[in-house]
This record gives sequence, C-alpha cells and structure tokens, in this order.
Amino acid sequence: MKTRIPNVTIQSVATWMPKNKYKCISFCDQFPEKDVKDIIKATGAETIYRADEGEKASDLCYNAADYLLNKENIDRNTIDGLVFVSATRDWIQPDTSISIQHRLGLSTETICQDINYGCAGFIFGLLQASSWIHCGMCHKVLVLTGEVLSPYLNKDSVASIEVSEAGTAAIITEGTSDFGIHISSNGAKSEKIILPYNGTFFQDGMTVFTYGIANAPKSIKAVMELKQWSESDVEFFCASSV
Amino acid sequence: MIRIFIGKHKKYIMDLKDFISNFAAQFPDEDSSSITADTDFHELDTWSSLNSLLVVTMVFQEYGVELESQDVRDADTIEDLYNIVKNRKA
Repeated sequence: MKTRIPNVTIQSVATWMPKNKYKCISFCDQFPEKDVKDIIKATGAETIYRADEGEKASDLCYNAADYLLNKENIDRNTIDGLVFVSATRDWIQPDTSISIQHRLGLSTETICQDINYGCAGFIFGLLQASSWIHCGMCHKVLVLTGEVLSPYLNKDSVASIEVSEAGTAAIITEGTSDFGIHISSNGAKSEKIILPYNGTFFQDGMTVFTYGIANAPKSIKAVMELKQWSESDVEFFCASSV
Repeated sequence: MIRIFIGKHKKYIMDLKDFISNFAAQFPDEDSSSITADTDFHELDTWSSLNSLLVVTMVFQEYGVELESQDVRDADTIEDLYNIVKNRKA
C-alpha cells in the first residue's frame, strides 16, 4: 500500500526517557565481554534507558504528551484525536488510549484508538492521524508511541541488553505538508519478532536484519517515486528497526 | 560500515571462488588461507554475531538473496552457504 496524504503536518514531537540509565558495557558482569561488545558495535547503542518496575508504556507516553502540551501551550480542548501505538498496552481491554484521554484532561469528544504495533508502529499512528485529518474528521491529533518490554525480556539472553525504553508524543495537525507513506506486510515472517501471551519477547536478529536491508530500500524507493524525488532531493535518510 | 543500497544489487554469476573471496573480505583479521570452501566458518576465531551480519549483508548486496538465521545455522562450511545462496537464486 502506498499513498500520499496532503494538507497535514507534524507540528511538534517530544520523547520521554525513563530515569534509569545503564551503560551497556556494565552488562559484562552477566555476559561474556566479547558478546556485549559485539552488540554495542552492531547497534551503536552504548547507553540504554529502562522503566521503573511497574512503570508502563502508557506512563512514559503520558509524560511525553503532558510535557509537549505544556511546552507548546496547546489548549487541551483543541485535541480531537488520540492514537496510542504500542505492543505493551496496559490491558487487553479497554484501549489504553482512552485512559490517557482522561489522564491528560482531554475532551470526552476526543476519538481514541490503540494500534497494537511495535517497531515501525509510529508510521501506522501517523497514517491513522493524518487520515482522520485529511477526511475532515479531526483537526489536531496526538500520536503516542511507547514500549516497556522489561517484564517480557529473556534476561538470560545477551540480546536483551540492547532493549531501551521510551515514550513519545507527536502532534499532527492540518497544514501544508504532503506525506508519502509506503507500508508492506509479510505474515510469513510472523514468528521472527514475537511476544506470545505466555512467553518472553523473541527476535531473530539476523533474519530481521536481512529483511530490513532488503525491504527498507524498496519502501524508500516507493516513497521517492510517490513524491517524485531524486536522491539529491533527500537531505536525510533515517532507518528504524533495521 | 553498512551501506543502504537504493540501487539494484550487482548481478553476480554464481562462482564458488568469488563467493569465498567475498566471504573472506568480511574477515579482515583472519588469515585468508584459513578461509576455504571446506572451512567451518562457525569455528573461525573472528566469527561473531557482528560478522554474521556483514556476511548476510554481503550476500544480499552481491547476490540479491535474503538469508535467514536458520540458513546460516544449517550451513557448516562456506561451500554449504554458497549452495544455499545458489539454490535460492535459481
């Protein structure tokens, strides 16, 4: 699926990091030094942040959104949509976005929806918010994304040391930007990144990596064609989850 | 170190010698004489999760084949890996 959505804009973005900060190298006391150093080298991440015990993705996202609304001095009554993108929601039911509406003091006229995606989930939130705005349903939408995977990590796996946690908030409004979005789905790889109901988080790193290097360029090309951009028109290529 | 390829991957004709030299290029610290068709690459001193990513990147960029971790586990030798890539291309 690829599409262009005109007359929208990302007004502002905030990220909230939890306060517990760890140097990845400190995990050498639990795992072989070579493995730890390899992971630091492969990911480029030397520092990670972890939530407090009991702190949820919704808490990090609430903090990010509350900070952003205050900082931008936005009248909370003008927010008419809220999307919470997370694979680690507070409950199976109801949608966590609805409780965040109340915590943030938003109007009960706000449309709230959870999207149960990790990794590249922000794009799904952006697509949802910009669609609501483009069809005239909403004017100003908060898109929150966050993940707290600590309770689901296999602590015996050295791969777990690179997991860092954060919550983000973005305000999407009517505007003059024109988003180009390409999304593909491949269910044949469903078990390559998986968090089952009764297990721990698992990622087949190498398979995910090759999927990324093979498919991210296809998405980049699709978006560049949509936007009729040449390589010299692009100032910054940013890859996530590759 | 890892480039994002927007263009098409190179159109290599499958050749074991080329494959071995492309493989060896990912292991600059390894004595090249220790990298042959029969080498059990999992046993190389410098084999690591990081180098394995370089190998699958090389395979994708040079041969256009997406290897999965199971493929790399299934292969004992460099020739085994070559045959997996060759079969996938066919």
